[in-house]
Amino acid sequence: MLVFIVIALSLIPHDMQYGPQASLIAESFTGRLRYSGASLGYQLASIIAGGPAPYIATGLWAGKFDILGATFVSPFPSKSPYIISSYILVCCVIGFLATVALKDRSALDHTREYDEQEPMEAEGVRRPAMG
Amino acid sequence: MASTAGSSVLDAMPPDERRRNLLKAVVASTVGTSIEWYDYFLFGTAGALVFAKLFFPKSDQLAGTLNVYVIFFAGFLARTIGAWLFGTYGDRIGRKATLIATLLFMGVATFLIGVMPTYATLGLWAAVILVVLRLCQGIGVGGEWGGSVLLAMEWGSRKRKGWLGSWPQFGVPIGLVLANAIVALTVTLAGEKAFLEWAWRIPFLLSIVLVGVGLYIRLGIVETPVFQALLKEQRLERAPVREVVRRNWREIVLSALLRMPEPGAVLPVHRLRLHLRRRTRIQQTIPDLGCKRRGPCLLLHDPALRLPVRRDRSENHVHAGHRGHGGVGLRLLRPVPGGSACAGIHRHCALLDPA
Repeated sequence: MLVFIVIALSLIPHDMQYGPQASLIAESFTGRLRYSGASLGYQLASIIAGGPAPYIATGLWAGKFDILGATFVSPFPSKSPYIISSYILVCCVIGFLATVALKDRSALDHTREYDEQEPMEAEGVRRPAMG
Repeated sequence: MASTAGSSVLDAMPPDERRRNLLKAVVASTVGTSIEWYDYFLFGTAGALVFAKLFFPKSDQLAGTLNVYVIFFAGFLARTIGAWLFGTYGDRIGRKATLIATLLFMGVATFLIGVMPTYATLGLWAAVILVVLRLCQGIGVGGEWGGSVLLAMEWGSRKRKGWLGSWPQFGVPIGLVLANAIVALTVTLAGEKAFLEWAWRIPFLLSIVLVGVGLYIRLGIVETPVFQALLKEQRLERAPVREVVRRNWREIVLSALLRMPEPGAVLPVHRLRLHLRRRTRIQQTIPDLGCKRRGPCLLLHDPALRLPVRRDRSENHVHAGHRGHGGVGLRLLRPVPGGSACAGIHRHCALLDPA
């Protein structure tokens, strides 16, 4: 039961990202390129993030990776619970940095092409505060 | 300033017509996305119970290898192909037409899975066709997401676009709960033996009804003001994918990277599922308890969490998300001892396709 509760709780922060993520990604692209850009950005993550996660986690735990028949030895200590946590933590740090690096375009008018809003971009668009 | 504007279309519209279109757009995007996720997750939940036996028998080594590829390529490659393919059309022929296409594409693939002859009748070809249909599902879901977010967001004002854009995200838990509920119901009503023989087809066939409803709703929407304006001013891009990769490769890479914390949600659920299997000794009977739990959790949290995010999306994203994940991750994730995790992992990948 405890496991359920803890996992349910752990999904709260996940969903706090998952909600705003959609617009954050979509508003990064100007109208005429938005469908392509947002789709590519979002779906590429399934290649680098969610998709391989179970494989990576299993490999880290077992200390070796089996990739299409070939075996690679993991350079990290195996059988340690912290190795998986560290993996997630590294992912979070990467996600954090990417979010900070992504320009905040929420102040732009998403119904008009961004090329025409350059002056506004210069004065009105903030970068997210750190920390 | 030159008015290109989607906003001119929005402004020219009487307020209640605008509101009505916005409502229709949000409903159409959320309902449609839920249906697509139902189809997509169904393969994992129902499929994990029966596909290994019916399509990939252990006696055929080639079929066994295919099984692994299903999991691998459907989740990764197909969704990116879908993004590329439907992204192109979404920026060229419009959000509405593309969203109807993705829904149809997904619905037909799912329905065909439901009428597939098995390995017993068709041999290896049955496995091959199943893989192809799964790829089609991946392509459909890959094209869907962008469109439904855009549909909801582009009908809204600047202030509300964040809130509106998060509605389609709600489709993930709805689809997940629906898929699990219907599979569980079918197993209960038909019995385990019948489920393995023929009843597993029911949830897949049922999808065509849902897709019909989704199509009906989507046919009634009006193209987004942004695309209407692009069309009117003939500013459409001929090769939007090439152009966006050239101009905005930075944004694409960062968007993908900002979703990196996803394993923080994927892995605990895996862990939970392994834990359940061990504790309850339920091997196959009850489909996917882990997903069942995750679904309602997401369902509960999602609307509540949408409230504080109307403004400052990126800040919220940074603060709430990543910090929370890191902390929880460190405390929680003790993997299941060795062997069992390894053995189960292929099947689990199939079960839990990340959103």
